[in-house]
Amino acid sequence: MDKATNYLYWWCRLLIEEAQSKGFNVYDLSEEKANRKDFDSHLISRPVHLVFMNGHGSPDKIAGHNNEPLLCSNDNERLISGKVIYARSCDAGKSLGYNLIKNGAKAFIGYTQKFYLAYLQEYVTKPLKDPLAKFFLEPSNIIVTALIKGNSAQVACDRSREVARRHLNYLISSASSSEERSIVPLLLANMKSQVVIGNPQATV
Amino acid sequence: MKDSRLRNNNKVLDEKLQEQLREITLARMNALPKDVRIAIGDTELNAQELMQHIKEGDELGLELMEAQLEFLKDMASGALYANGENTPTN
Repeated sequence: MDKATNYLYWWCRLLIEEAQSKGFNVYDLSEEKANRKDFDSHLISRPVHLVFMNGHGSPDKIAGHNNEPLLCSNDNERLISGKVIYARSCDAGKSLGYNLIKNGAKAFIGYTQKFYLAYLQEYVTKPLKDPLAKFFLEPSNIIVTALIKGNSAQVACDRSREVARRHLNYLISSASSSEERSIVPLLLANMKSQVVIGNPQATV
Repeated sequence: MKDSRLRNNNKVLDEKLQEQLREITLARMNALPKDVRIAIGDTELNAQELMQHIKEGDELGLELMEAQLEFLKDMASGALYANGENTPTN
């Protein structure tokens, strides 16, 4: 698992625990379970309402373990029909997001450009404690938190922007360190490229 | 063929401005502390590696320059300092 995926994995665990504590059934396809066969099978056979993907992305696909394509344009988009999907992946908002909506997804939340993540080398074995990564992953995690609390896709995105805005306000202030200030353009880029496609009032 | 020119509001940035932006972006990347890594997709890069992409002007380099341009624009317009109103958006 590369370091970025490791960070996403651990920050995702927080959301899995939160969802389970609220009584949701969570189908966690992590590591080698993030393969096409299991992905398709779960979406076909289980009552899934929210799909949260953490994987390397491109305009037309989101990948899983070993970069195996899991969700691809002109392929298996129909599996997301009737669901809300949040893709914490690069570029999927450019094209795949629209294809998912055309094929019946309620709403797609994702990014139209690269999703940047800054982290500190000394924290790679303890990603949840990384003080730099939190500026990127807290605004992202709040999207899922807001959705599982029953908020709409648009409200979830708005909450994410509010958290990112709070972080930005701190980062551009004199209270922040030079390494914290250096990441502002990248956090801003994530904030600007975040989109809701489809029905903004969609809920899980 | 992929357009390798940087755009500002969909207008191609002139070469002199693009070069100035490249210098600013390089300077900011050079100021990144040694233990910071930036993960972009399936790649994890340190400051030197980021600077190499910017110098080469490849797709990633241009995206980093574009992020820097957006940041400068928001700083200049005051949008970066707004609280709620004028929140930087696309």
